[in-house]
Amino acid sequence: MGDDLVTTDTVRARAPVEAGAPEQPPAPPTGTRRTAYQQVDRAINIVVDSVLGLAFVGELVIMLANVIGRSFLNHPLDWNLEAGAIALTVMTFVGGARAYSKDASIALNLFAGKLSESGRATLRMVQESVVFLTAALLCQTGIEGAQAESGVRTPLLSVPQSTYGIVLAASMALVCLYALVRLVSLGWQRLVGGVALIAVLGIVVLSVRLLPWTATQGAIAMLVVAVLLIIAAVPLAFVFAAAMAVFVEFTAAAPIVTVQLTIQNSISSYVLLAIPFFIFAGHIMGVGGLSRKLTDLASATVSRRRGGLLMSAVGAMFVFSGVSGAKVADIAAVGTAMKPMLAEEKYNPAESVAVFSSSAAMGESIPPSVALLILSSFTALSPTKLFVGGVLPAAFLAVVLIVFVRYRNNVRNSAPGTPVNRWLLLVKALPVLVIPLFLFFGLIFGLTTPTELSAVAVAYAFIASICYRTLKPKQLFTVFAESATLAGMILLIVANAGAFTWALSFAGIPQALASALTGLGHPVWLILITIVVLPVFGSFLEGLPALLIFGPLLLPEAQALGIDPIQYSVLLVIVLGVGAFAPPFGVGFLASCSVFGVEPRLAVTRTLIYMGVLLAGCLVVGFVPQLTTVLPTVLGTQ
Amino acid sequence: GAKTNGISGGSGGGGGAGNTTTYSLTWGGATPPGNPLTIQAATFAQQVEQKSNGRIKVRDVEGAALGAPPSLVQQVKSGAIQMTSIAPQYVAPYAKSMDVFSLPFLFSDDQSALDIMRGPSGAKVADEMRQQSGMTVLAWGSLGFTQLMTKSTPVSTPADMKGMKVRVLPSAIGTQVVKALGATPVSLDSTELLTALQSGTVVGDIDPTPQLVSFKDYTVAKYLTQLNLFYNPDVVAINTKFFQSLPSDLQQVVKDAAVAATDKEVQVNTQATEAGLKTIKDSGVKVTDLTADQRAQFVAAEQSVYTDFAASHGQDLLNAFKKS
Ligand code: NA
Ligand code: NA
Repeated sequence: MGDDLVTTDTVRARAPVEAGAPEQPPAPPTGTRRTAYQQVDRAINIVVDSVLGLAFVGELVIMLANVIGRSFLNHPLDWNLEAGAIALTVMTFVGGARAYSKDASIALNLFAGKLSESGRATLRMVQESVVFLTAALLCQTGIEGAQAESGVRTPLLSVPQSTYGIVLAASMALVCLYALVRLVSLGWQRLVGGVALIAVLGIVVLSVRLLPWTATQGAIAMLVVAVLLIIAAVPLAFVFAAAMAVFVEFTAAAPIVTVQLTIQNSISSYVLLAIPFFIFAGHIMGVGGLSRKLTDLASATVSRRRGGLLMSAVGAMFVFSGVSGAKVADIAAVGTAMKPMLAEEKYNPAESVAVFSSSAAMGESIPPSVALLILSSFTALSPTKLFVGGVLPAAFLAVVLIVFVRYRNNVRNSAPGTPVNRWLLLVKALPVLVIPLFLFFGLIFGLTTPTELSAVAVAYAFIASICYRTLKPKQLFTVFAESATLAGMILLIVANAGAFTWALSFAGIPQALASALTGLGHPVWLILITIVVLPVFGSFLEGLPALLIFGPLLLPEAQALGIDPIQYSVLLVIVLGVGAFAPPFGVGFLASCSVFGVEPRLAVTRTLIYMGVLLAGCLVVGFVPQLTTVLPTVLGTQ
Repeated sequence: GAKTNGISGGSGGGGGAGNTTTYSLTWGGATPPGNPLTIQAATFAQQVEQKSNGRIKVRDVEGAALGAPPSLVQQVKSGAIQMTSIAPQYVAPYAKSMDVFSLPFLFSDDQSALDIMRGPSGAKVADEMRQQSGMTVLAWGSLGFTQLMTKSTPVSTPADMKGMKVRVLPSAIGTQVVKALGATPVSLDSTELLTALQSGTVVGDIDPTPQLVSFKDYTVAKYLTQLNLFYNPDVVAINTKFFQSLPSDLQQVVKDAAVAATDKEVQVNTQATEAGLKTIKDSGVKVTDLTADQRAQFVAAEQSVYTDFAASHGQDLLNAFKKS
């Protein structure tokens, strides 16, 4: 810790965080006296980590207390959702700032390795300047948001509502500081260049408000800016926020506080809390050696086949999708646990990103699926029927993926296992293998909700690691710091992508596209367009907005054309899932990259290939209604 | 005669604006097509564009594409968007007297509720909201009463609810109301509701009839009690600064359109409630209608809630609404 902010290596590629390898030794002490920078940096990081730890552990305790209180004492906490909202805000913004301080933000490094040292330094100057300006603006909008809520308190805990804005403002002030220090470390010429760039961009953006553009022009400007910033390898969370700010400023359609309101809105879903907890549980299992037991078993059995470990990853994702309702959380849990084994067996991490991204999209229709529940809430379709209908298409796609993994991967483990030690390994791995079952029964017997399962998973992983005596107290802090960084990085992208989506919706772009899709006149066209075009939209509009815009528009159209509504719903949820996990913009794809520590540009092609295979499989889902309808019919589901 | 909604918007401002100035008005909604609130927004948009001869361009964005209800209120308040139609609970953080609609058994039926809200009592609350929040009420609508669905035990008296885990939207009063009936309030995200009902995490849910249908409660729960527990008005709110920036003829156009759209919304919601009740009955759910005596038992159980409300919000406010 402590040496994150000031780097000796002034120009370095933005390296994604080393999520699954917390065992690596800390940076060796320099032996020389600390500079003033380093001391300040260390002090700041201690404060930041403490705040994060408080939010993390506090929310974990609250969630578990609520489960126990409700299930065993008939005395649930009625303020759990309020506490969760505050914890999630801290984890997102403070965690996002901490990720930035570790240089762990996700960016598309299109030119890495192709530029001279001086070129890289200049690019870095542009990146830090843009981040500084964006963070300064987010800081400003956070302060305005806090002012707008002054005097207002949450109904049950009476926490000032201004807390949300203050957390955003403080976190972004920290990001400004980090960006400035990095500009300084690039040398005085680039510092001057950076400051000049900040001034010019700032003046341009602020003065355009005087000559407002139309919403359509603003949306085009926003998209152009987003593409330019992505090419310049600016961290994606800041690209989304900067583009949204450009829209608001260029069109003068809304006050700047809108940025804070929409960012906060996109993390208002309680289910997102499952992301940090499943990441943490996965990390504990990794460091505590629990995944190791699973590796041993897997090596002795499945992985002797070609591509065995990755094939079992698809299976694990299938099982895990039956536990969690959130796609990104699935990857966080299974991906983090399997990462060390995959590395040990020399699988290409980029291939893992591709397999996990496509598996997560495949698992979108497996119950409990938040997407299907939402879909059933605005249609006359029974959720039970949707759930039962979603199982076979997902299973079919899983088989397609497994076959394709086998076709593509030649990796196999050389060490042969004997039947005897296989049984022994199975016994040793049992505490890990029962986790999905344990979680599943928790759900079935009403002990927990899907979100609370993530907290239970943390508690279970923690207790099991203590029993194995493999987790040292010292490691726990490292594991926590790694988890908080990874979660903050993902959540900040989710939050800021929401602001971006607001601007698109305000300009009416998705609505216009959706209405263009209706009126195609033939079921074959509708299904083909759904499979080919909707993933593209799904990649820009992660989650609820895409479903809420396209679902109500396309479902009646499908029904009018004689397509089974359950079948079309399942197809829609999967293709939108493919979009959410598709490179280069899909939040799910970027999250997978950070879980596996892969630079997104290295995984783009592979992931696109896997997504293509998945979409080819969707043709079967789309054109063979029986695949979806047979199970509900046979089981007589109402 | 719904023409006299509790409107209290100022009519100043916008003095110099001539007939050529055009205005852009964004209405944000969080509901899917077919929902009474979505139809309300569409009706409003169509009326305004027509009656203003295109001088006001309405951008109607539905389906929560601009945000969930709490955010939509903040966006109207800040001027990011101009209008929304929303439950008073979401406005209450910025206008305390709106809390009155969180009280249980406040109204006996839909018509008397509408009459009270659109009369002097509603005007009093709307006036406070305009002064405190920067938002103005243009019309009061109705999403009907909340009812109780229970998974495996019928409910006709408060005693039947003892110890029952019931999902209720998190609010200070909502929680207290459920506790006063002897039940245990559980706050859950609506996306987790059905799973929770199936697994028994909760065994009851309090929601308006159309939501009981759209959340699919009836596929799991076997009993419906027509409790008429909470009344759910919807408030058509507009950013006050924007409203006052309109010339007075356009203010009238916007007001009239809001009232007409809300009449349409109430009509659609009444139909949806009747159709929803039929769907629930047809699926084999046993429906309990309370007798006058049973209802009195429920009201008596809530006495402490009224006492506390009078202490925190004033007896006057309570009296203005709780006449029956
Ligand atoms: Na899932
Ligand atoms: Na699922």
